[in-house]
Amino acid sequence: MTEIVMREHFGSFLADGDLGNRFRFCEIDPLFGRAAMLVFDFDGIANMSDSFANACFGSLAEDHPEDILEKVRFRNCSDMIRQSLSAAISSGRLRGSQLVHSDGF
Amino acid sequence: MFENNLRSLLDVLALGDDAERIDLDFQSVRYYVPGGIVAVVAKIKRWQRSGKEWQFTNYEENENFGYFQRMDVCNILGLDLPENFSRHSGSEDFVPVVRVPRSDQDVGPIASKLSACVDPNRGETFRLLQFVTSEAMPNARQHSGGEGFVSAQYAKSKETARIGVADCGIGILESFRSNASPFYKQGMTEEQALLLALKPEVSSTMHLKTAYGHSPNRGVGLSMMRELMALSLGAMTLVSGNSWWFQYGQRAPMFGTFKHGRRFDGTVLAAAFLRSQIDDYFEMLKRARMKLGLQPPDDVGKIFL
Repeated sequence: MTEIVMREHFGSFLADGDLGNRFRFCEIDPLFGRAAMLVFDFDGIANMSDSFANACFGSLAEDHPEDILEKVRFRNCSDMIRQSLSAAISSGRLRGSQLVHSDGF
Repeated sequence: MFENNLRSLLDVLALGDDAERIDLDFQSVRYYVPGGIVAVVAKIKRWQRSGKEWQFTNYEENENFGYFQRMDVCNILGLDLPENFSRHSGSEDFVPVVRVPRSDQDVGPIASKLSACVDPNRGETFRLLQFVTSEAMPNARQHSGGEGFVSAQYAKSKETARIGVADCGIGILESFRSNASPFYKQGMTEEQALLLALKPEVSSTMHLKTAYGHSPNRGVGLSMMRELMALSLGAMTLVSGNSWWFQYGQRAPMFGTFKHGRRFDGTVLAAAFLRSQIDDYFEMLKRARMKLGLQPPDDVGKIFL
């Protein structure tokens, strides 16, 4: 299991979609292939923009619509953070599934 | 000058676009909201880039000009004028004009600073403004190709929070066109592009691949802002190119184009709301997402420990 403490990377506010996108590509994607389980700790995260949630976790779900349910867990999420993550990941999985089907796989 | 007559200011500023030399007369200036101030800054930056001569006139006798100076308008424009006030007044109910961070810099700290001037106790209004400003600033990056500016203010007497973001870039229509967005249609007007940009899941760059794979944009920021401002019964205006859009509370928005070919080359976004209208940020987010269809069925419950 690999744990990522979000506050250590961004402070208490996950704000910037551009940085969320970069973080996913540079930090999460390489771990996703290697780790059996990725746990994101949201302890101390008070707020998150939809841009960050979509760029970081929505795009991760788009790339791995099935695996994300098996390999990723979130802990210490407030109700607000949980709802934002849920919206971003559900939307990302939907996009990912549609892409897979449109590619004929 | 308030959000509802911001377009009148931009209409007048557009007169300078055809001039070689521009005098900005401050004689009758009383008050500008942050949206107006950043719009003036962005406009002058555009004039500076195109080599126009400009100057402020009749400001010495205007006691309100000190407010513009305190908002760092002169500093950010490279104008060195004497200041007749103390910069250490202890007032924290506004944030002077600052540049929108570049795409490799986090908008979070500036969003938090803007939000703290309205709600220093970091409550529901603070988090709402964090969300709104962090969604608004990347839009200025996206459409600008130039410089973007942001500012905020809190009027204690009326409990009114105000923010403004403006850039002197390519504007919304050109952003759709130059990025070869699938949303762009030949012959699309600036008004059509502006209205399109306010819809959920529409962005001029969401189709692009970046160095980090996906585009960071899903086209939710402006539409969420629009809904959140409606839920707060606040005012929001968006201007780009020759077109403007204005929403007050939950009334039907108004929109149109400037007359006589006038325009604002860039984009301006201004919003205002009463702090007393914000009592549950989480509930507002939920309602906004539901209204916009951005809350698909939660089928991922198992991922939360």
